[in-house]
Amino acid sequence: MIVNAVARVVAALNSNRRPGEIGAAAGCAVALALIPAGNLIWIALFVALFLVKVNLSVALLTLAALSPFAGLTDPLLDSIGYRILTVAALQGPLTTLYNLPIAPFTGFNNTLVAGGLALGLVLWIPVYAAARAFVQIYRNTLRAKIAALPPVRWFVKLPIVQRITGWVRWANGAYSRVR
Amino acid sequence: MAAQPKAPKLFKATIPRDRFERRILKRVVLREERSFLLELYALDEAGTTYTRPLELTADQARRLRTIAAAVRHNRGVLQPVKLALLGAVAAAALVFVVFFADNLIERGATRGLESLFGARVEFGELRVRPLQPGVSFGSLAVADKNRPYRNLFELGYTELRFDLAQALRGKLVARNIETQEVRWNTEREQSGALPPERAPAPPDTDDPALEFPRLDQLVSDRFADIDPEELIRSHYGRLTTPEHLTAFAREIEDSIDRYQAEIPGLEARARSAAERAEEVTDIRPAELRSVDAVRDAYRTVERAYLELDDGVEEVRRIRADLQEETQRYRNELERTGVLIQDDIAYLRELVPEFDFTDASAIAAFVVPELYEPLNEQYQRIRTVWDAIDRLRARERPDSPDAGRVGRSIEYPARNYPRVLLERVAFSVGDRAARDLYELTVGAVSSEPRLVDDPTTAQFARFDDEREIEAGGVLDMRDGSAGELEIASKMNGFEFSIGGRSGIVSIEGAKGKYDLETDLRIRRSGFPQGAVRVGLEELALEVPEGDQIASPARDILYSIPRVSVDLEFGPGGAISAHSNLDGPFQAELRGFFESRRRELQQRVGDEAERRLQDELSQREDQLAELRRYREQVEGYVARVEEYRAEVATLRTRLDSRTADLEQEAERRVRDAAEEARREAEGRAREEAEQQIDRALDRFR
Repeated sequence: MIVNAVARVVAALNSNRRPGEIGAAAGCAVALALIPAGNLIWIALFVALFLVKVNLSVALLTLAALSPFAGLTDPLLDSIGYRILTVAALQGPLTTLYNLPIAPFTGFNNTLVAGGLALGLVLWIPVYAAARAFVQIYRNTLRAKIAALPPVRWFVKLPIVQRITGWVRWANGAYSRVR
Repeated sequence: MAAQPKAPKLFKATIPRDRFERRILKRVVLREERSFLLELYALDEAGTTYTRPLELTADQARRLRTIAAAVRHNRGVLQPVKLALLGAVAAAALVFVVFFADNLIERGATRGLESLFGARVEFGELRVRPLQPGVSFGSLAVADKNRPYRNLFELGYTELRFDLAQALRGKLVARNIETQEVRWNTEREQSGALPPERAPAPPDTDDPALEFPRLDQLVSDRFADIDPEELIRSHYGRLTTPEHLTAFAREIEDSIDRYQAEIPGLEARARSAAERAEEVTDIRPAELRSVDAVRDAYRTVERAYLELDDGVEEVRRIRADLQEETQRYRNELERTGVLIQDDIAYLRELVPEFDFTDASAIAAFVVPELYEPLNEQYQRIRTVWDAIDRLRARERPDSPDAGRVGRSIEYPARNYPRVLLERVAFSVGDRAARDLYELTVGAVSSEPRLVDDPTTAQFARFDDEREIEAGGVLDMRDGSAGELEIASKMNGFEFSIGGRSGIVSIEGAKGKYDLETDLRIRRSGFPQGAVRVGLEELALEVPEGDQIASPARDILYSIPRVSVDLEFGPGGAISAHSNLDGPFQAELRGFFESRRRELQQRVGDEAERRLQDELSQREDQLAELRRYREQVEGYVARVEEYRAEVATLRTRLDSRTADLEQEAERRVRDAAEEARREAEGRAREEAEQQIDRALDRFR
């Protein structure tokens, strides 16, 4: 499973896909990791991942990697969330939002949710930019060098990697044909 | 001939420059792919069109297909296929709700209500109206968990309308409930008990408040519960006589043991005395010829006498002790008789007087019939209260994640509880026309602190002759006492009861009654407040010749209306008063005084029998002691007799000694006389010879 996910990430890095898809996937994963699960905001963001063109493998792998450590940021998120939720100027809109239907399910008035959302949005752009830049650098300069390394060449020739690569190609082809 | 490799449609032989650069080349992100395309396509001289060779190699065609797929993928940010899939799922969910929501909601509502009421719940024809939003059902039956073959209540066709905005906030706020029929305490054909796996856990409490206070404590026939033997048994430890007799018995037993041990010694001593006496009685004083022999015999007899004398003294001492002890025990037994009388008097006083100072005399007649209906209503109230409690217990604070819990900032809002029934109203008929059936329930909620008003319920039913009005307020909001206040009034109801025995035994009674209650019920503890009962048009059938029922009936008939007021105090204490207490008490007092005397007599007789039994056992012991005394008397007589015989022998020996001494003296005296005479003769002869010689010399 993990090997499959890593292989898919590697395939994504090397495929003819926009670097922004991987950048957006990383940004969204960071935001999802920061926001506590179990509320409508998290669920909406998670569902949105599947509806927009971001690399799901990168997003899910990044989310899985970051989630165990998300709790470490709780004091910071609580502080940020509390400050946002108690800003005097926002009391009117927040009160209106609070009284809207479905609002209770979003948990926006929870300090961790608000702090996670705010920090996730703020971090989205640098994470996006950094990941995008990394992909471009990788594709333009690193890929050829890495591909030339003997261990990589050995790895790529492994039957399971070959098989996964074949699956990915087949899936991409099938997806393209459906479209 | 091999087929010519075909390029994808995107990559036609000629492509306008603008399209090629903006729609294709821009979406190819890999440098080598871009280079490939630019090598394949060449810009014409006019600079308006990109053209590629008409014939492609297989490798070029395959690569173009891959690039075409990538170009299509890199177009736009949304995934239309997945969006369509999501739409399809939503549509399927909608269809599912349309077709299956009724069953799902019915099942959920059934389970929810079953867990609230702890009994089976049955809906009939439940329909969900998602657009109103609301729910309607043809019927609803909620079983009574305490009586599985009765329904707590039944509703006919009912419509519930929910607040849509609050429904979208996850709150079940019922703004309006319209029902066409309400009935309760109806019969069921099948048991309403839940299967064990679904039944709520029974309350882990022995809270006395789970039952209405037992009213029979007011008017219990105290005498009926008194068993003379049990009364004596339970108070036996406090009586003086048994303790006295026990100590007495120990003393007598000690005495018996002691004398029982001494009797063989006395027997041996008597035997020894007899032997000793026999030994000395062989002596024949007359046959003794010498003083010395007599004196030897005398010494033997004297020793025997002294031994017998000692024996007599000892036996007499034991006899005296025995006499003294026997007399003392006799005195104790006589004193025990007095103690027995004291104990009997004490036990007789334990029979209580029939005291009406705290209870109404008339309540003795009315109250036993009240417990069942009052407790039944009380249990029904508690069932509903339990349901409200369980509803409250389900209110849980929203938590975004079990592991990560932040702080929830509250903003000004009309915050509703998770479940709220704002108002349920049902009304049929007209009060003025005396044909009304009305029920109103307000503010039933899972979180009372979020609701302005306390939970209320009003019920009214009027017909030509009968009236019921009841109202309850249950305030569970913060700072409230958490009490349920119930006030009800019932008028014009008829009652008919069969025969029953008790203080006032009847064969049947009927009449009209009215009932007013004003009670405050806490979650734990007994209810407090008042219940007022009025009785009119009474008709009683009483057993012929009943000493109390007949006069009681006459008294009840003496006034047109009998009223009984019951006051429920803290801890289940009850007091009662009625407007017939005076005459009823007077009648009952005489009757119960005679019963008390009769019971006292039975207690006294039983106590005397038991104590006399014990006393007779002591008498038996004393008789045994008396037998010992008689035995000792026999020993005394025997030893004294032996001693007398020896004393006689001693006297005879004394006499024999005297005789022998007299004879010896006489003999001595005779011998001395003889000697004197002989000496005198010799002296005279000597003197005459001397005289003769003197005379001879002179001569």
